[in-house]
Amino acid sequence: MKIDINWALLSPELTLIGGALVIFIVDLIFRRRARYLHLPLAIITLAVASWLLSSLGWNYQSTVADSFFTDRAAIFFKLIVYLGTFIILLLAEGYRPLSRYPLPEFTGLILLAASAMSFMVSSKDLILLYVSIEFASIVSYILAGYMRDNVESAEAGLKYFLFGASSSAVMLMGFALLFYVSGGVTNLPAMGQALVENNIHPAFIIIAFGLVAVGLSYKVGAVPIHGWVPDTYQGAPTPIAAFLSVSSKVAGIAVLLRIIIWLLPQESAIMGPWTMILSFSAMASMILGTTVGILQMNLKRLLAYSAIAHIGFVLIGIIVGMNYVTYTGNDFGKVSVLIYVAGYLFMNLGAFAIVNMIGNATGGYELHHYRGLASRKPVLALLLAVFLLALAGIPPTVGFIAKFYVLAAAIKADFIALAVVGILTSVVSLFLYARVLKVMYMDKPPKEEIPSKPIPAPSWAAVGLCLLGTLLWGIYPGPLIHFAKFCVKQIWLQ
Amino acid sequence: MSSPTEFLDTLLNITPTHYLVVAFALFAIGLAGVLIRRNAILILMGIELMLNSSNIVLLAAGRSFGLQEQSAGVFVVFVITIAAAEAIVGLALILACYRKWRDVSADRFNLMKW
Repeated sequence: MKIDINWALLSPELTLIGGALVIFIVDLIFRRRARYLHLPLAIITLAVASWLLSSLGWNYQSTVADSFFTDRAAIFFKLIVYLGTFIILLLAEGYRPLSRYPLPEFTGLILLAASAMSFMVSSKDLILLYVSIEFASIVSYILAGYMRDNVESAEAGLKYFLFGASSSAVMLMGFALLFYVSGGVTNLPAMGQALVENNIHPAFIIIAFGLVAVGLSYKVGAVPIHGWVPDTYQGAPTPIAAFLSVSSKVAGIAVLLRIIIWLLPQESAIMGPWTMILSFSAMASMILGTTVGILQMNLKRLLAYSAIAHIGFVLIGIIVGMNYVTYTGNDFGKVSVLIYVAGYLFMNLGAFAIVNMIGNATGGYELHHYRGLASRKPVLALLLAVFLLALAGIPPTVGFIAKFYVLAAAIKADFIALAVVGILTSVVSLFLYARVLKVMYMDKPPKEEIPSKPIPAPSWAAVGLCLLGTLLWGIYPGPLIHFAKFCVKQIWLQ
Repeated sequence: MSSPTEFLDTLLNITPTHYLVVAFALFAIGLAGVLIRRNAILILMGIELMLNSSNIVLLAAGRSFGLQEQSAGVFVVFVITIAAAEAIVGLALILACYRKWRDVSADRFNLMKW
């Protein structure tokens, strides 16, 4: 059988893999003489990949026997992943503890992870989907445990691995069962049709979907498989915690969105149970993320719990998107998911970037390191305040627009309970973030001076980018909303 | 009591359902191992069992849909490869933790909680 491959469609991912290999080889040949070369190489690779991506055109195309596709939403998610990767590469340059370990490999692995996430977003075939999810996971395990002489990083990597490997094994069983009952189909839309036509007992499909949901819940870090999130974020290198909290989750959300579109046609019998499962997960994520987050004394852990709560909001958008379909750009649920993801990228990466800088300056991530920070590092304190208020959903930041859209979609689609939980938890979450502000602005600074180390320029560039996105799209959200609607308009074409 | 030949016939008349039963049993054993065992290496072995039980389901599916259906075999080859890659990374992480704790018990990895 001859398979036609449209290499242009695959070119962004292949560029990323090629760039990673070039970085590995350059490091092998030149060793320490080229130790500053990896960052420019990686940025060039990302720029070329983004350029190739944007030159693909907005229309739906697929290749490699209909297993790999691009459309507007896929391009949107990939751009988010690449932008997140770019900001994280800038952050990694300013993360001090990492400088004792080989950095070129680190950068190369981040590019490989970005390419794997890109494949996840674009896969239309069960096999490609599984392989790309595992590719992304395995690279992430290595990155989380990268500082192997650091006890916390090793523990973070191992915990991430144990959670990830076991839940992805459960997910594989779900895939195998779906493969079995759909009659050996691996193409996802065809599989969704086969599931409806083959007249399979709903209980069987619910079990299979439940198993798949375990794997995806781990990937996006939602309840019930959220246990790894706080530990891994706290122990992993800070840029990697940021990477896992944004790029990795965005790819997981894209997969979840595709799965509900393809495998759950509107006439599917398990729409009701599946909505209930997702609603439970969304509510539990929001409640657990905010309430337990309040108790945290470590900033990275606090951001981890806030990430769990934010995933709950994204799940609301997904639930609305799968229940109320209008087949036009006014598909509020899916539009709100895209807007939320884009806003979350900027505000969460910004918060991580500032926490990273303060960690470098004060040498720790505990809350007491932030006492009286406003009088000693006023700029950093102010920036952190902006990003934390954005995460809490205060206007005029993009966090407000994102939360507003999700809640409006939920109310419009009559998911009142979800909307009420969402509003209540965002009120509570304000307290969670305000606690940090209180410590920074009200508490007395400790006696000893902070050694003022210079903050590298790449970190400032990363923060500037995040600040721009957070404020610009908060004040003037029109283009973002239009772009999200534009991307959703075609999401049903196959 | 049937004759030995008949018994052998029923024994050899294996349907996909038989494969599924074996696969689910293996999956349950693997999952129980992951949930109950405290030793990180034994947890890894449980994970491998779960992956292999999925392989059996895939192969049973491929067999029942006819031999010209190749996607099941392709899937299984990918799963085996990924399982190997995962085991390598997992063992490396376990080794890194062992160097610090001199122990591979998952209960000991409790620097960070709550």
